[in-house]
Amino acid sequence: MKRIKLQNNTTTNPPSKEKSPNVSISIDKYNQDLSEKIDKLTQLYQNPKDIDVGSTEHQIIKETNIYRLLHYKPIFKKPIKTPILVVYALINRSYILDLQRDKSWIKNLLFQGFDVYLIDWKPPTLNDKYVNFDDYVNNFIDDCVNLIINQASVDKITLHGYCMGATMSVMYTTLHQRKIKNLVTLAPVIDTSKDLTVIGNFGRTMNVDRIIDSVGNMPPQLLRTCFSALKPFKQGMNKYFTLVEHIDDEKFVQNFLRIEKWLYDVPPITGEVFKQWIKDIYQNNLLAKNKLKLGSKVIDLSKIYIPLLNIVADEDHLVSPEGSAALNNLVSSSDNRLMRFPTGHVGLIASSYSQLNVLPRMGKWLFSRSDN
Amino acid sequence: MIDSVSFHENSNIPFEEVLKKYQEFWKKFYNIPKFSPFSLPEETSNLVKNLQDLLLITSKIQYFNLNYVTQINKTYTEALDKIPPNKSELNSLQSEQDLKKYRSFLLGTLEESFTNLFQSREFGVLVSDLMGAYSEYNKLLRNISNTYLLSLNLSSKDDVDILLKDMQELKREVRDLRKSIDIIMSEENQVAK
Repeated sequence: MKRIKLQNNTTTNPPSKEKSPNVSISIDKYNQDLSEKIDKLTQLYQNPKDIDVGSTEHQIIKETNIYRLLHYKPIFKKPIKTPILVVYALINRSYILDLQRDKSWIKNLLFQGFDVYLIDWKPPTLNDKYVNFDDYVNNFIDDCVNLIINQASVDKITLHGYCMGATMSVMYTTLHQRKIKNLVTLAPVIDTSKDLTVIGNFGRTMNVDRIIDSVGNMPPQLLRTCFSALKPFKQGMNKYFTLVEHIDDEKFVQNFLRIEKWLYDVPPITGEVFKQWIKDIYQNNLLAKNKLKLGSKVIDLSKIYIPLLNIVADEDHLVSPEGSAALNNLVSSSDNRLMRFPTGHVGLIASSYSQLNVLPRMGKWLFSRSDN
Repeated sequence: MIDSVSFHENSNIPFEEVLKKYQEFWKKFYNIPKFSPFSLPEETSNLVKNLQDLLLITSKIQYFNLNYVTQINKTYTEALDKIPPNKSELNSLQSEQDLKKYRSFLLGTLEESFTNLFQSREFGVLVSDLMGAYSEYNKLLRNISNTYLLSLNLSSKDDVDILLKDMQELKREVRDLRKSIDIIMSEENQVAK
């Protein structure tokens, strides 16, 4: 077998031949410690404890077979008058936004004085296979918006979507703009011609009709297969080394398990939605071309004129940042802002970084555009 | 970028030829007259057709799976070739820090090679073909089970699908009607005010 010599231009350097100053721990000792830690890891996975997620106090305002509309208990007696409706994606579950106390997106918004609602999409069954984007946008999201407008006695609300939920929020805004005061999007999928991600590559080559015609809804197993191709070693494997190293740190382990629970909590996506998502958005880029149709209505992004804040993660390997950033050039809003952060897709919403950097700036932008 | 490793490298017979031979073999059964004293009953013909399709689809699955595994193994081997494997290099790992550095280098090299593979169009097409072949397999099993469901006077999956589709259409119509009524009522309320 031909050997390829290490080159200087490789991304990471090979180990140094010189002795490291930190030689107090011998390799044997290190291996022994590692072996003990791996035993603990095995026990942890064999006897998993309950993992608490989504603990911020809330009320369920409405529940159907497709979604639950949650209203979080405001922290202040008089919250900011314009309520926020958070539209979560149809991929994985919404509790990533309220994963743990110190990294909760929702809790942070509440502490900033906002009145927060969330659409928590439930896993669809085979009976829902014909539910499409028209239903999600013009029926489910619209019902939630109407309900909040009535409950909060306001004319307009702030619509705030994440990932696929941001894309749906954009669709909704083009069709029902009179009910929306501000649009805040986090990593929306918009212009897929600029998408260089692994997911984009799979999406462009997928024969989605053939798959959905045989399975009905896009099954979690297939979705997980696609996601496992994203940073398979640096994230997929390296995280377990890090876990082993921190196995005695109870807080670290609990936080790790919360993320792990979320990563493997993949519901199916309805067949019709998945077909539209892949064919119309990834393969034909209809949303960016202003040609996407929901029912009989065309989604024309240039019709959006309300204030827009588009937040993009520069290290996002799931949704191409350039594809997301394209939104700002496609709308007609004069109050139109793009914020870019050096973090990843999940880091954008569920990290210490987002608590310190993303949320304060977003809150400031939103506060000045909300009725108080 | 990625060498297209195919079945051809692993067998003397090209895959397309294998499929052709299968089809020719099963075609003989269709030459048996359908309407004559020597004809096979219709059920037997259907069974033969299903068996033929099943063999074709499982061959496709095997072919694409083999290609998939070959691509993964090839990428893995190529990545490992970039990593110093000789004994003297490994002996130079003296401390925990060295081990971590080595691990990071190993994972980085693997990551780079696999990301190149996953981002290549050839691999995307292969994954699509593989998923497509599994889909065909599922569809065929459904067709076979539908045949038996019909003989048992039970609704087939296709019948249920038609109902589900109609139900969803009806739900949309009801939604649109409700919204129209809401608009009319709010307009009437405003006039009354």
